[in-house]
Amino acid sequence: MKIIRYIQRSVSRKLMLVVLATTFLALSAYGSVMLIYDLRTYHDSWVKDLTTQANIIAEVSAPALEFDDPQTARENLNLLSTRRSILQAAIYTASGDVFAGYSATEERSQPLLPPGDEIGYVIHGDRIAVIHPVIKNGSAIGSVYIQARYEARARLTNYALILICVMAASMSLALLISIWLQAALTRPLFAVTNVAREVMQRRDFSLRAEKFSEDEIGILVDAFNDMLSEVEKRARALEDSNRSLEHEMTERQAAERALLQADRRKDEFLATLAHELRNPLAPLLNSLRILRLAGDNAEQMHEAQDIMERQLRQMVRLVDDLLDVSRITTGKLTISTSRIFVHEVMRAAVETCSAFIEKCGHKLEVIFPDETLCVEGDSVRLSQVFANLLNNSAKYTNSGGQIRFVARQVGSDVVVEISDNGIGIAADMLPEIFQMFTQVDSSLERTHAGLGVGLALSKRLIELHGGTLVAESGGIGKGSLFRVTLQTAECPDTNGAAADTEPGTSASRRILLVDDNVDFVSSMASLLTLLGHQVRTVNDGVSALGAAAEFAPDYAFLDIGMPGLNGYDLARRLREHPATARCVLTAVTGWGQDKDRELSRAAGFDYHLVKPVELARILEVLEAGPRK
Amino acid sequence: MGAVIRTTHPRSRWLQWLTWLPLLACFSFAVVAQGVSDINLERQIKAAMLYKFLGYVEWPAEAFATPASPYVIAVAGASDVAAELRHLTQDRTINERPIVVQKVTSKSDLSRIHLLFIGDEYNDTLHNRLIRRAREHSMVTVTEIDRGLNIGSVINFRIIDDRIGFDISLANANAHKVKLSARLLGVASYVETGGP
Repeated sequence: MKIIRYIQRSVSRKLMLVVLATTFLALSAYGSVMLIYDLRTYHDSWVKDLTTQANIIAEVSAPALEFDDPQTARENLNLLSTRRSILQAAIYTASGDVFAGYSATEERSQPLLPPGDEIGYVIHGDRIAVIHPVIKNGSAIGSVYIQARYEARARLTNYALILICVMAASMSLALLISIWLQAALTRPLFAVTNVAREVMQRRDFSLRAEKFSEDEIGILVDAFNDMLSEVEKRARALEDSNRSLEHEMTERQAAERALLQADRRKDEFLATLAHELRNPLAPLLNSLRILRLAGDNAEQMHEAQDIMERQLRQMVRLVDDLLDVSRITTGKLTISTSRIFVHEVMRAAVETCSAFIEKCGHKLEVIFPDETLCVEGDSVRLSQVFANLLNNSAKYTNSGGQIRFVARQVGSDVVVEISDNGIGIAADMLPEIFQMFTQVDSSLERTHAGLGVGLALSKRLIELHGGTLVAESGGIGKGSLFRVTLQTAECPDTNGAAADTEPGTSASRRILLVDDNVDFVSSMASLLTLLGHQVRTVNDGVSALGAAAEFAPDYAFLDIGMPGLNGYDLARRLREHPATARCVLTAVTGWGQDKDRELSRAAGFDYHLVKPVELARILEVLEAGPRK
Repeated sequence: MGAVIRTTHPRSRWLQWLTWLPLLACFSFAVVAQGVSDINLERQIKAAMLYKFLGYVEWPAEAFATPASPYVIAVAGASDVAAELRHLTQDRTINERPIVVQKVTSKSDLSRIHLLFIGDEYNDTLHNRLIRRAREHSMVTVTEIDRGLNIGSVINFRIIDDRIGFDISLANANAHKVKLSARLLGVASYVETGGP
């Protein structure tokens, strides 16, 4: 059983077994058949030979028997001495008596066959005996007996010996052949087996089995290698997909985190917004009560009006910021570009902020560029950015601080820096401060209002101008620095532009204001009248038609959402009417999206202002001159 | 081969003696008989030999009239031999020929004879005459005298060491135009080739 298991474990052993077994069986079968054939041949020829000998002796000895001459008979028998294997011979008379005898040795033994008339033979052990009658004239006159060695056993032994030698030689040869076969057949198989094992152990599908031949094993090797390539391809595809899945997962997790953070920021922003919008209402109400109660106390009324203006401005600024945030998030924030002077923008920003900075007790140092520098951009937005940054510095610097506002040319760029010696920014917060709704000081007892959108808005605006806004700080308590870099542009002719704008401001215009918000219309009408313009106000679209026809205004500011006749239809009617066909029409609406602007342009409007409309915006329209 | 071992039972010893008795009687009778018939035996053997000689001799074709013609053995004198031959050859053939035995004298016709035996009771003169006459025919002459071959006989019987042997003269055989088988010469005591 052990041997069977040993052989079953290996192809080469099986091959060896096949070759050896085949050789052994073939040789055994051949040897056996040859042995039987040889023994038969030996037997037949020996019997025939001895019978022939006996016949000759019988023929020759017939006269000796007939004429009773034993001497001649003996001489005849003695001729057999040439045959070594013939041991004994005798001639018998017809009556069975020995007529003549012969013995190769001194040995004399009992004859194996009785004298007789028939030809016969007998084999006994290693002896063979034949009897042959002596016939004369048709009758037996005696018989010849020959006994010889029958060497079948010796022959068998010799034969077996030869067979064993041949078998040993053949088996050795077969062994050599099987070893050669093993090399030719099992080496490629072993190669495949080894590669398969290595692939399983190392998980390396780039391994390939070596091909030794073009036979079936070669085909097997090819198929195996093809299979490996297929497996390798699939494994790689699986790995790739796993990796991309992993990557996707990471991205999703990051996005989820960002979403959560944005959500949290939005919540914070909403809380801040409510707080910031609520804050000005109390002083406003108080001032309003003062106005009612003060009567003719001019000083108290003036003080109350100042409070109301300050608080309202604060609210307007908040809502403006809010609108800008909405534009940023919807991607609708746009700028109008023109050549503007850097120092003018800076001056405008300083004008906006100087009151607040003074109030905080800071010292502002402004350094304008050495020469006149211009940039391509929106002067309102750029001054908004600078004002934002100045406000920011003022807010985050303890009272009595130092603020520097510096512009200079570096190469082809204009670098504007706003720096302070305030509370500074922690290094880990630096990248965060430009995020929407981020406030460095989120503690409840913070002293300064804000929605946390100023820096994000500023950065976005500067980027829209093709510039950069970066923040630097030495750390907490080390102050901070904001640097705006913008591309310089060629400056326009300053003298012509100044002359052109001059007469526009002084001219008196006929202005029609149409809005269902009576407070807004009447307050704006008072302001414009104070500025020297003729103003007519109407509170609905239908009556506006009649007023316009009669008044024939140069400028008309129309609300869009009105009962009866809306702003778009009113504009179309006015354009159709000869008295107002050349009138400058401005839409005043709460909707500031592109599609709203598109709608108003289609209706015949020249300008589109978004509520709340400040006096400055209306003055800008008036300064732009009549319709071309 | 193996020796035969006879076991003898002690109780049957006297029985063995009883069985030996008739054997002894037979033996003594045989000895007496041999002594009486010694002469007869010699004549019988010679008769048998004469008969057997026919098988070893070749005659010319004209010696026989037909393929079935008999061998003719003539006996001169020696009537006991002739009687024995007649007895011996009765109903026997050699080479599918029957055998005829006839008595002849010195004056008989010898023309149809194949084998002539002259008994030793014939004197020299008779011998010479018969042989001289026989020389004209194709036949084998057989004598039983010492100088048989010299007087022209083909075969001559002799007693050698109590055995009956014979001498052959090839020259005489040639003279008689008969051929003797070499096998016959092989068992002859002496063969006279007739050469120098």
